[in-house]
Amino acid sequence: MRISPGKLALSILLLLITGLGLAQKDIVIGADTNGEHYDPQRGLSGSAHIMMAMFDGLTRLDPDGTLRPSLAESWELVNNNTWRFTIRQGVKFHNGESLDANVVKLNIDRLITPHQTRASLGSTVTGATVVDDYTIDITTVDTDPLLPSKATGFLIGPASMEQDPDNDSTEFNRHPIGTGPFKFVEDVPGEYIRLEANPDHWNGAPEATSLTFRIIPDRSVQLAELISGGVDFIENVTPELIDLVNRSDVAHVVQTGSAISHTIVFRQDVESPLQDKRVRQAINYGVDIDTIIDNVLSGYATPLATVVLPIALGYNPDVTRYPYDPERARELLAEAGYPDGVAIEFDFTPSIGELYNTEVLQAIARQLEGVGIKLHLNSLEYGIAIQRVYGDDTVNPAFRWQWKTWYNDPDSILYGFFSTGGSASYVSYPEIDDMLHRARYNLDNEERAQIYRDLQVIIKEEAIHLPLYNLQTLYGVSDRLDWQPRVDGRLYFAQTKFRD
Amino acid sequence: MFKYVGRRLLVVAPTLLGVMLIVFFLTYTIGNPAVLLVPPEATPEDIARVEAVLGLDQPVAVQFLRYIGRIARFDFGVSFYSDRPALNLVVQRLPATLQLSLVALVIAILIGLPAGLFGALWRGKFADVALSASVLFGMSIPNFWLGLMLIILFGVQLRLLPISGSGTPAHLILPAITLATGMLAMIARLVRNDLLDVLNADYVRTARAKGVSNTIVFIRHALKNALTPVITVLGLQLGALLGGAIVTESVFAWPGVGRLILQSIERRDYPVVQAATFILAVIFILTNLVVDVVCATLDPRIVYE
Amino acid sequence: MSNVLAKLVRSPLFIAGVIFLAPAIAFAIGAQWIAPHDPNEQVLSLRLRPPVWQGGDAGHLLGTDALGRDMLSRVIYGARVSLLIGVAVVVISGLLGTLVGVLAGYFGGWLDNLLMRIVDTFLAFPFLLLALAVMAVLKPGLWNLIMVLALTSWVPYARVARVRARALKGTEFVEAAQALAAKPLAIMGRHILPNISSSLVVIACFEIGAAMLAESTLSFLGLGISPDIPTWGMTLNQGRSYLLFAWWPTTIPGIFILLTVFGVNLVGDGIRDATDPRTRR
Repeated sequence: MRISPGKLALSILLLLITGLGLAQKDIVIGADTNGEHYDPQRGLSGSAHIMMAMFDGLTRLDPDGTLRPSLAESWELVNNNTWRFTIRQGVKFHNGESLDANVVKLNIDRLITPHQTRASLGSTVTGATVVDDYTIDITTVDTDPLLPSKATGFLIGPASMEQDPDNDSTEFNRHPIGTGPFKFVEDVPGEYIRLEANPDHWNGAPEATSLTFRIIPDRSVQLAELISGGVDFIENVTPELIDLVNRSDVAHVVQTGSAISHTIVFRQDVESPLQDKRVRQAINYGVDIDTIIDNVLSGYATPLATVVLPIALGYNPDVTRYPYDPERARELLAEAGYPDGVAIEFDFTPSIGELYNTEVLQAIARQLEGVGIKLHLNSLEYGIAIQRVYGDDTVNPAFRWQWKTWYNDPDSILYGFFSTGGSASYVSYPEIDDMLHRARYNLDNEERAQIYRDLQVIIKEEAIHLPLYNLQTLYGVSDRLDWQPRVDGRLYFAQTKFRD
Repeated sequence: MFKYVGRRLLVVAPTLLGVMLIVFFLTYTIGNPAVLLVPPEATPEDIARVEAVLGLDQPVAVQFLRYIGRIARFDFGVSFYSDRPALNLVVQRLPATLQLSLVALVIAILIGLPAGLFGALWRGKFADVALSASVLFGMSIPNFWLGLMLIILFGVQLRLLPISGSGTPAHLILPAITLATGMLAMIARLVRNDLLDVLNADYVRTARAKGVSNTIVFIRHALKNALTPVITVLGLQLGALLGGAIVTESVFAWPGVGRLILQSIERRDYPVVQAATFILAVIFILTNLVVDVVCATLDPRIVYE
Repeated sequence: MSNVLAKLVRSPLFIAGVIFLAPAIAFAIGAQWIAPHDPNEQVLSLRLRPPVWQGGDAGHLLGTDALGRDMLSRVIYGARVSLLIGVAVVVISGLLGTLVGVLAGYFGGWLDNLLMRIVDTFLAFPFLLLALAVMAVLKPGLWNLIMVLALTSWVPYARVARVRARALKGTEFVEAAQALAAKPLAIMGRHILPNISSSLVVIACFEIGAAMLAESTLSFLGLGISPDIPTWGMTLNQGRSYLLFAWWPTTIPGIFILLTVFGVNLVGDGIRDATDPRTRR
């Protein structure tokens, strides 16, 4: 390929034109990666932002996490294991098909079909019954207080999505059709996916005329694109670059707390000093997380007392972190029979843990060394780490992990980390199991909250983890946009307004 | 020569089969894709269900036989993630990769070859040392560093070239320069070295002694023979480029094969990994064959029987 | 031999190379005496201080990294493992590749065909897949890392050794040796190897730098050695996230890799000049 001056001039001209194109109400998002599967029941988490633009769920969450109607106008519990949803009338899919209870049933049936990879979302659902054209009953194994929240993820596709329900329809996911505020235009794998506004959306047309999710793997390059006006939106600005973005005259930084809890998990099911509560407490006393947050993370994180976030139901403000007390840590260690210190094998993954993960762990290791606890840091490749933690349980006695809180509810994170057999749990406390079970199948939110508050006391006292923090997410947003962040970290552009 | 090429082509199929056998076991050792496909709250039953859907619940022997059966029909299966045919996903990325690789290679040759040539002619002089130093400098700069600096200079400050992405010839310039900088040093150094070797060889001295002009000696004897190691290495580099310049592709958001392979390995998307390995194997087998033929043509002393 | 030494000492290339390499070698040998600080000592309040000449802290000549660790000390200690990785990878892969290449080139025929098909097979596997498989079966660690890097870098030696050996086999002096019924091993050792070594040395001089950089890529993916051991590659890669606002954590280890590559290549040139029998005039 030869590049002539003419061609060069042409491409610069093209650039200028695309630059002018930005003056229209198009939003270009610089993304780390795009999902590649846009089937409402099969798409994976990588596709979430894009799916949320094209599809509506039965319910939806406000930016602050409040549950709101979406394709379902209202819902009620008709008996202990049946939720009744009233479906919005007059909703059309992008291809003109209509929405009714039968279409919703088809989607629910498809969601709980055993071979769906996302099926765990509907793991408590046993079936759906059409009551009339716009009413549907969803039945669950036991009382499920969270079903309306989970229904935010029950995305609805049209009846034509599946001519033959037994057939693995792979065609639909390449030309997805939903009811959402944006319609699918084209998907170029590895480059971008483009959506355009759906003027007939039941909640009003979005102001943006189109959305383009461009894949830019390198975060420094995402930033370069943002401050040069090449993209309108990026996630994950590093704290040190906030000034650079704000001074750029084209973009600004929007900050919000993330819903991800960062923590260090101790295994109690394998032989190690960590089986002794005093050692675990000593570690908690031996880490000065505030100093680490202030320095390594420039203050852009909030320390956690347990993995339960302040936004979550039943957050207990009376449970506080173990104070930094190296003296007490050494005492506890000596009491546990390790006056000369202990050595602990520790696993982590550079790509799990977001901002400056390795640096944070090295700082923690250094502090713990000061009280006689030597962490041997072993870095694991991402896939191997997932396999060892969720799969065959061969991870080292201590490891770094994280979990996201959904619907402002701690059920999933607590089950995951503390129930016997939970996917990231390496402990077994019958008392905790019982409490978790009672909360999971309880319709009274105040009772649930009380159980969770009590649980946090036990989790802290037992020092099951060394909880770390949740980070502030820093978004870089074009000055043309009034964009609102969400507690769940999802990127919504349907309500985004343009500044003139 | 034709017989030799024929024989080489005959062993292509068994070689490919060998590659595909090994890649099956390699992918098998690096983990269970089902665990990466399910959400974190998934129960062991959820994982088992996904394994069953993907056919990973079968004994290894059964999986292996099925795999061989599919490969024999050139069916590489569909991606675990996108449900698209794995081979298509790889082939789709080839044009972008080819474009970038060829442009980078041409730049590397256009700079590396003369740099090596003059280095040899001016051996030991200041110009030689300066040339060597500059190509080595280029080689020692990590690609991500060079890429970012080029982006900041030409994309952000001067606004002359696009920062990332693909589509226009202008998009090619920075990634191609980044890649070429890493490669041209090897070319320059090998050309210089091999020219020096050949220039001192007896037959070249003889030719010179007979009064044949320097330039003719240079072109007719020295350059042709000196080029064989260079071409050999170029073949390897071209193959490696086609297999993906992962870092450069990531920095410039270039939609090439390298990023696809990296992503597929990271998330254990085995059909795509296997399809990509197959394509890579074909590319390497063919480039190495072409290289062997070219070398034998250039240097008549090389005889393959 | 003394002749060669005398030539070396007079060769400006060799001297320049030694000067470039000297700091790295001195660091590797005497890190504990030279380094002003413990390379892992953190002073969080002195995070990301620039080098002294850019207004940094007087106690940290080359500035500090993201945990307030002294860059100079990290670079000094890093020399040890980085040089070990560079040299060990080159020695292992160079020996393996040369052996395979010379055998294939000299004997030709079915052996050549077999060995070169193994080479093709090796080339086809993505580097990362091989690295992952080895690291999954074995355990991450320095020597396993070296094995992985060697395993993925021996092919160029083999291909180049083969094509050059092939060309030499047709020359008069090899044919003469064969006519004298010299053993193949002796011919390969005495006539072929010395005549192809210069090309292989060029590749080897390169791969030292390449191995140091590749180590950083593997560390980045979580396949490297423990982050507690400072290496140039790892220091360079950890600094990558800071590149837009702090140039030194990446650039300084990069400069040392560069100096080493320069030095190795210059020394290689010098030795070549001194030992090449045909340059004696």
